[in-house]
Amino acid sequence: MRYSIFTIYLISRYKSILLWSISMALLAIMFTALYEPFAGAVEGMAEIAPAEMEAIWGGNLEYASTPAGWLGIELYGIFLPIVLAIIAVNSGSTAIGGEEDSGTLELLLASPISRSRIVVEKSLSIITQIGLVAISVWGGVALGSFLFSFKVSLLDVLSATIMAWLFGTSISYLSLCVHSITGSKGLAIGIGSLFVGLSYIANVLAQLLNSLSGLKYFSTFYYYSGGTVLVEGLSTTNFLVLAGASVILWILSVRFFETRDTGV
Amino acid sequence: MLLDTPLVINDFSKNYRGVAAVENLNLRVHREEIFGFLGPNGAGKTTTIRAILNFIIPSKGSISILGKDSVEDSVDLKNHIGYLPGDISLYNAMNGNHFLRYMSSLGRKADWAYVKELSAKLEISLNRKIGDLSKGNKQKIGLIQAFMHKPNLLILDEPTSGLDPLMKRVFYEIVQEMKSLGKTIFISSHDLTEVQRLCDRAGFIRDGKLIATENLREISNLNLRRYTITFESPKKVTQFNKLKNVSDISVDGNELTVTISGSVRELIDELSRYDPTDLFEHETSLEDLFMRYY
Repeated sequence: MRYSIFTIYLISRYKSILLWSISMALLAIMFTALYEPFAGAVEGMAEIAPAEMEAIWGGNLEYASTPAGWLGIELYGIFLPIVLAIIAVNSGSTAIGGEEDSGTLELLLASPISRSRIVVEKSLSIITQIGLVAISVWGGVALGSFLFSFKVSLLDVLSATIMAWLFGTSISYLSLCVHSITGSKGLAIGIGSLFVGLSYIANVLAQLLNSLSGLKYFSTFYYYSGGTVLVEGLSTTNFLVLAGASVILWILSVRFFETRDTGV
Repeated sequence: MLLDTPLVINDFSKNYRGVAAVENLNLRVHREEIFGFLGPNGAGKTTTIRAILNFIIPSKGSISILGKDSVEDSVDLKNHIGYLPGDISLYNAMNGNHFLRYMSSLGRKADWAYVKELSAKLEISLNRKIGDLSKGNKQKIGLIQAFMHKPNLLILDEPTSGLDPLMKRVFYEIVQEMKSLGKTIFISSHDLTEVQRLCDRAGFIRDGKLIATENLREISNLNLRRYTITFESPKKVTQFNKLKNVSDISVDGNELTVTISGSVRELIDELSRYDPTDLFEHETSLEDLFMRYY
C-alpha cells in the first residue's frame, strides 16, 4: 500500500463516505423508481403550487412531470446540496483541524515536506470524498434509469452532479480556509455551517422578493442550481464562479497555513 | 552538515498576543553533545522546541540548525532532525509498522534494520494496533520514529514520559549510542535526575528566560539533595552550620532538615556522633533548584 497524507485522510473517513455514498445511491434509485407512479400527480403542480415552494425546494416545478424536473425537485434541488454541504463542512474543517487538535499534525510538520504539500494532499482528499458521494448519486440515477422507465439525459445528470461536487468543494474549502487562518476547528465548522445557512436563505429571499433579488449573487445555491442544470444544461458562468471561488479559497488556505503558528 | 554547533539560537523571542513566552534566548548546542533543557511547566521549553521545528515563527531572532535557517530551510532540515513531541499523539487506527511506513513515506529515510533493533531493545511489538497500546508503548513507538533515520539532531520533549525504569535505562543507552555516532541530542525535561544522569550540559529556563547553562560534568552544585534526620533528642542548628556543602539548616524538635550539594561524607561523619534514628531524603524538585541557585 502507498502511504500518503491523501490516502490516510481518505481511509480515516472511508466508513462515513461509504455509508453516505450507499445511502445517496439508494435514494437516487428510489426516486427513479417512484417517478412513474407519481408523474401524473405532480403534473400541473407549477400552476397550483405557491412560488415559495419552488424557491424552497430549489427545483423547477414547471418541469416537475419530466424525469429531469422530478430529479431536480426530489434530489438535486435541495437534498443533495445539503448532504454535500454537511460532508463538505466536516471534511474541510477536520482535514488539518482534526490532526492539529489531536496533535498528530506535529508529526507531519516534523517531516521533510512543505506545509503547502499538506494542504494540497488534504484538499485533494476532501474533493475526492465529496466527489465519491456525488458520483454515487449519478450512479444511482444511471442504474435506476436502466432498471425503471426513467428517461433522463445521463449527461445532464452528470453536469448537475459536477455542479453539486463543485458546490461541495467551494464550501469545504471555505471551512479549510477558515481553519488555515484561525487554527480553530470549531470556528471552521461554525463559519462553514453559517455560510451554508445564510447562502440558502439569500437564495430563497432573492427568488421571493424582487427588492432582494441581488442577494442571489452572494449565494452558492444560486450558482449551483442543480435542478436547472438538469433541465437546461450546464451554465458556464456558474461553473466558473464556483470553480473560481474554490481556487481562491484553496490559495488562501495554502497561503495562511504556510505562515501560521500551529498548535497554539 | 556536521558543524561543531548544529543548533544555534540567536536572540529568540516569541510573543503571544503581546505576552512574551520566550525572551531573548541565546543558546549554542555542540556536536556530539547531549544537552538538557530544563525548566518548570510553562517556562518556555516547548515554545522553544516548536520554534526550532518551525511549528511557530519567531517574533524576534533566528534559529540556525546545521548551519541553515530554521524557517527558510525548514523542509530540507527535517531530513536531519528526529523529533519526539511531548505527550505524543499517534494514529490510533494504524499499527506500529504502518505508522512508521507512513512517517517514512513522508521523506525520512528509515533504516529498517535499525528500526527492528530498536523495537527489540524497547520490547515493543510493531504489529499491534496503536490505539490498543499503553502510554508507555506509544512513547516507545514515538521514540522509534524519532530515531529511525539516525538524524544528526534529535529533539526530544520529555522522552521518558511513561517509560518504566528498565526502559528508561534502555533509552539512555540508545541516546549514548547516538552520541557515539556523532549525533547531537537536545532533551527537554523537568526531571533533574534524568538530566544529571544523561546530559553533558544543561540550560535552565524560567519565565521565558534562559537563566543559566551549566556543564553538568564539571559542577557539583546541581547534585542537590535535601534530608530530614531524626534524633533521640533535640539538636541545635549551631551544631551543623559549619559543615561544608550544607545549607538551609532548620531544626524542629528532634528533626533536623538540611540541604546538601556535593559530598555527604562530612555530614555523615557529624551525624554519627548524635545517634540518628531515621533519615529521609526529600525529592529535589526543579523549583527547589531554581529557588536556591538561580
